[in-house]
Amino acid sequence: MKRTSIMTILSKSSVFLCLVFLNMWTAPAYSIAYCALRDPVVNIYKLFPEATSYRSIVHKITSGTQQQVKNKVSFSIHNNELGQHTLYIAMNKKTPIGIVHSRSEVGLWGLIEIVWALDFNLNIVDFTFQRCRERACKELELSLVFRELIKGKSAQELSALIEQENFSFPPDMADNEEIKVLAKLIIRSAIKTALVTEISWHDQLQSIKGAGD
Amino acid sequence: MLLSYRSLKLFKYFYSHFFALLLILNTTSLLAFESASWLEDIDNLRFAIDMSARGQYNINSNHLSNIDSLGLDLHKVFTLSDGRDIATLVFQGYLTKLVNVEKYPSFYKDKDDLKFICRICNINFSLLDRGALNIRIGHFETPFGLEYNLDTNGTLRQYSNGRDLGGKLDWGMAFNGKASWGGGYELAFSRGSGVDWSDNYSTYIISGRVEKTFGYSSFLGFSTFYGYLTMPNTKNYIDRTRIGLDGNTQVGPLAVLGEFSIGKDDDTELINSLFEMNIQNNTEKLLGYFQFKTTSHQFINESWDTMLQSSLGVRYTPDRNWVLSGQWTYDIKAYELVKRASSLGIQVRYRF
Repeated sequence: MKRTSIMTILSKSSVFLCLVFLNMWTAPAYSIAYCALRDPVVNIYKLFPEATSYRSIVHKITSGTQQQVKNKVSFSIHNNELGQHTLYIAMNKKTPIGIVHSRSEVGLWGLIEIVWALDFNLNIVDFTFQRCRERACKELELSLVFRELIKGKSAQELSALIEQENFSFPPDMADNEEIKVLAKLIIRSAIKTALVTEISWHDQLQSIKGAGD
Repeated sequence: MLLSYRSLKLFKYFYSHFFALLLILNTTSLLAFESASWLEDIDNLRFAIDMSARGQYNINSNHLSNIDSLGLDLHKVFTLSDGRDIATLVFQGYLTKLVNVEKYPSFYKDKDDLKFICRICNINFSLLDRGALNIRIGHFETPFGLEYNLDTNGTLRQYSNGRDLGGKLDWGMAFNGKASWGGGYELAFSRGSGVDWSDNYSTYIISGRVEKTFGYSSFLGFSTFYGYLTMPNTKNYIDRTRIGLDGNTQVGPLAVLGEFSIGKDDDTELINSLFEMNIQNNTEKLLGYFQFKTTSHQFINESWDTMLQSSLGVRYTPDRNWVLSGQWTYDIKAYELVKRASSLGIQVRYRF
């Protein structure tokens, strides 16, 4: 192989690589989340046992949403969480009875997919895990004390809860560091879920609430 | 000379096919989407453009080939006026170009074919409350084995459906549903024509899979398959039967997957197995895996012949658009009178 051939290939590659990276830089405005589009069917009925069906509402979560979350609390959603996402409305026959939304958090051994149930005032009703590799997930989901701690609370109340300097965990969790770390992660996820739902699906939820009143 | 002739040839090949293709596809599709933002105004529609360039190098024969594709991935939910979801449409249409692919699947015309393929294109109607019964109509994956939960279409990493059943996809209808106790099922009746619709109406497949999930990350599935099919590129018919067991469990960063099937192609007995162990980091951007596959057959009045194959792969997902993958596949033992093969594959995939 001649030196000129090597130089030609390298110079052409550098031009193409620059253009490819330029494209990469301009692309995110049109990007959507690379997710598996998994419907949490079983979890909708687990969280709302009286539900008979559900309704999906797809909406695009943008960097604007990310900024609005950041304006309300000290953290926000990750760039990988932007894109089109689905909110599920649990229905009993023709009556909407609650909201289901799943969000992912980075855990010790991979992403943790948490499925949240909310009422139409965006207070936490319940939660479960769609995917989790950590032992603490099972313990946390089974902990009635933890569920009671977050049930019925809004994003603002949960935010105030974890920002308390003397925030104390329930007695059955106090000695387990892994559960304590996970519990804080879950509460932050609840706050993000309620805020993102309020910001992104506000109009649709108002119309569903209006129809139900 | 720092670079050998062979490595330069490889570099030149991949450079010319991968980067040029990515650039052209990326630019044209971005321009196309500037004017196609009307898609975003359609209710409950999620979509992505999917571009992929995949190169394959057969080490033994010093042969290079690649498969490039440009696809549109759509997911649309239809809702009734009373507020309930009634159906979900999935459309994955891909324009696929082969370049110098010697062992190409039978639905391609030749080693350099350009073909539009409707990968998964079906609509799933909800028939009973609580997801208990749905009916899927269109082009879908045959419900069998690990592939049912772990879609490997268009990726280097593959499970057993292709080599075991002769194909993954078929046209037809399937009843499917989920149960609150963690169970799920799909029973499919399909044409046996594979990727293409075909005007041969004598072939068919009946297949089904039931599964039970355990905890948040494990499942066990049982599958059955019967097909009356034509052999690729011939007019000979074959009776193909399989039963299979598959499962997945995860411990910390490790996941273990396995599938095992036994069956017959006419009078030939077959046993297939696959074992995979993979590891990923906590952000799931980096995944490494090892696969071990066995394929054994016994022709009538002959002894068993077994092929052992291993694959070592890595997948890097730097952000929500790019996926970079590499895989080395090595035949530990080939069938009698067949040469062992070893190949390297790399893939660049971009979705937006």
